[in-house]
Amino acid sequence: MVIRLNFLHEIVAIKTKRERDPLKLAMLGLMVVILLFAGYYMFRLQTVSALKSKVNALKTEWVTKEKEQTANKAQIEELNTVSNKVAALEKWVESRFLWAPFLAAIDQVVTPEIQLNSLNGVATRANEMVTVTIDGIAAGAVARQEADKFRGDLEVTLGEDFTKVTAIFNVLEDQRDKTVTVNGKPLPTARFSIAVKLSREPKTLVTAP
Amino acid sequence: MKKFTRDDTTKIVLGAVMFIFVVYAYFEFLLNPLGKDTVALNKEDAELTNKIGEAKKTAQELRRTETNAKNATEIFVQIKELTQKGSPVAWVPLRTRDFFARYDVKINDVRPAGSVAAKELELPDFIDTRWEVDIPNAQFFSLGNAISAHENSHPLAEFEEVRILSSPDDPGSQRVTLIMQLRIYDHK
Repeated sequence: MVIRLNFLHEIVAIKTKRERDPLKLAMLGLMVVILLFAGYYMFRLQTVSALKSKVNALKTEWVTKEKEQTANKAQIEELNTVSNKVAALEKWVESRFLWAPFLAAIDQVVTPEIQLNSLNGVATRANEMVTVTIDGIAAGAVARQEADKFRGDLEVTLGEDFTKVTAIFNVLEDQRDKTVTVNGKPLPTARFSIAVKLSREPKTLVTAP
Repeated sequence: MKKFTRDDTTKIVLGAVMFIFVVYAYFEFLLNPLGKDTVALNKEDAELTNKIGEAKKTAQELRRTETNAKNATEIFVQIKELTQKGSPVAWVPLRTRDFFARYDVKINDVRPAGSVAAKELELPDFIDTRWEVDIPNAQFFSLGNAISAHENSHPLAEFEEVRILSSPDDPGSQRVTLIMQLRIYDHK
């Protein structure tokens, strides 16, 4: 058995005591915690700095975009105003009452036995219906029948282009003392006045398949 | 176990107090402002991103509206060109007379018969004018052609009234009065 002699036991004891000093250990722990705190703070600072840079870039972008947006909004409003105006005008144009097909229908149904003296038509937008009064003279063996044929033909022909068409006699009377010569023959006459009513709404066109 | 001396205890207590102060100062004076900054910056980031997104949407909407309104813009320019500048009484009678003359219909006079602002709210710059067109002598066929052509080529005109009266001497010839409504763009 080896005998060891420690002649420095007092110095070693002091050294051990110093190394196990709780205050010193606590200070070391505190330093570690402070280092961790500082590291975390730096990390957060970096994050905030990056966010700040991003926000500054967005602010710069927004300065340009804001001007563009204001101009774009004004332009959109202007374009929408024009579109609305054109839509309103198109509606107005499409709701016009067109006399051309009406006059064409008259031209189509007037025969040599019919003479028109006057035509008074009113197609104001205030009224849904168009009213036309047609005065004339019919000639024929039975003049009243000629006048009625004209009225019926007119109603049918107008019905091809217009809706809610009615044509009724206001006046239909024989003119006993008046005759007219048609194709060399003297024929008795009848005076008539026809009230025509039709809708301003045009007939809906059906597109062929 | 070794007992702490009085000096050790004092040092430990002081160390603990210092530690608490350091932790408090760290959170209160360093992390807390950073946290507040982060919240404010995130809010600002969200707001700006949202605004920029809206601006991009507006730009897209403009492109879409431009495409949709392209026809409307062209039509509106054409409509405005239908109205000459200056007082309507200076050009409407002349234009109407010239137009009907092309169809052998001679107009005696075109008189203004009143005007009102267009009733549509979308059209504050349009005026509805009325005109009395007096034709002393017209053939029915020529008149029909002229009216048809006028209705086709003047979309902002409408005949409100048509009065045709045959001449007792010549049934083929008629005296005609037309009441025409003409929608006019106000160039002012």
